[in-house]
Amino acid sequence: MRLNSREQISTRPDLYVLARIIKILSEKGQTNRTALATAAGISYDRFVLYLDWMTTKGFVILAEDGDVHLTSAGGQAYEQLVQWIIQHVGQLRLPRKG
Amino acid sequence: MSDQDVVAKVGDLMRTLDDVKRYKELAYAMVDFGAIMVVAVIAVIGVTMFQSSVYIVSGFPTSNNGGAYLLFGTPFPSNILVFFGELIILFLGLILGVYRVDKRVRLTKVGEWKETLEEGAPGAIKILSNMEWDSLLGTVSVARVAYLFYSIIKVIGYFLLVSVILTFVSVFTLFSVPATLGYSSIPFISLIIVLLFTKNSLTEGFRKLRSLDSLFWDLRWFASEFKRADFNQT
Repeated sequence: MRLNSREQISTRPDLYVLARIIKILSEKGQTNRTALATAAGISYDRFVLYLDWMTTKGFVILAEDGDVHLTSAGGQAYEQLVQWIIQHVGQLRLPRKG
Repeated sequence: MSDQDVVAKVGDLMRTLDDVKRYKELAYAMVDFGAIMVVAVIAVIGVTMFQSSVYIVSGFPTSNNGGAYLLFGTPFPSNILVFFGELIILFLGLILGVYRVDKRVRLTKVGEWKETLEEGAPGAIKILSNMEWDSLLGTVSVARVAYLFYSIIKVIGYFLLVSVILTFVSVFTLFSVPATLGYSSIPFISLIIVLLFTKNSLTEGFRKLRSLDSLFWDLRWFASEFKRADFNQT
């Protein structure tokens, strides 16, 4: 199932779902699509949209046997996102307790 | 390691925001507290007026040897039972007010994010992504004013309490002293006592106020950076 151009423009990926997919792949290694969709907690139809988007971005590769592989670009994107949050939340001057 | 770090950082942020929610609720609860105390004071004034009316009708003025007991120039009942009754009304008002504040603050919904954060970094991302920044900034902004309001109400409350206690003590210890001389200094003495005893609390209050101010501007910056970040532009 491919996204048409209109769907691609209107579909804004949920960062949480992307992060979950990448985390599962980095923990389990290559995973088949159905298992990955179940582990990510989204319907298969939605998962296919995400898979398509992530493949376009080069974050994952769909192997011939149907398994999904995480690329180094995908791992880096996840790590950059996490580092961004650590860095920016770390800069907030939170009131001290007491 | 990164996952643990991001969970720790976002956890700290969320705990701070829970505190902000509590400050906001505290301020709203203080309005209730103020209303309860106003009702109690009105009841006391009503009882005093009723007693004075009864005395006037029955030919006995509210006085002790011609000198009325005064609380800031207001005649105080000379009947000891009525006086105790009024103290009980004020005390019950205080207890009810404190109970109301305590209940409202305890019922503040906090920690709803904990389950999501247990998922690790994706959970932290979900929390930040779902944050309603405008509403959150509004809450922090209200909490700043609320905390100031809370501090002021607290000082006024202590001031009134100390004033009543001092008046109570004066009535029994300075029984023979003309009321108009001794009682006029009670507000000043009360204020000095309250400021001395709440000095640390007031300093802490102003520190908290400044830190909430910093938090407001920092969150505003963070919200803007988060919305503009590359990962949110895809």
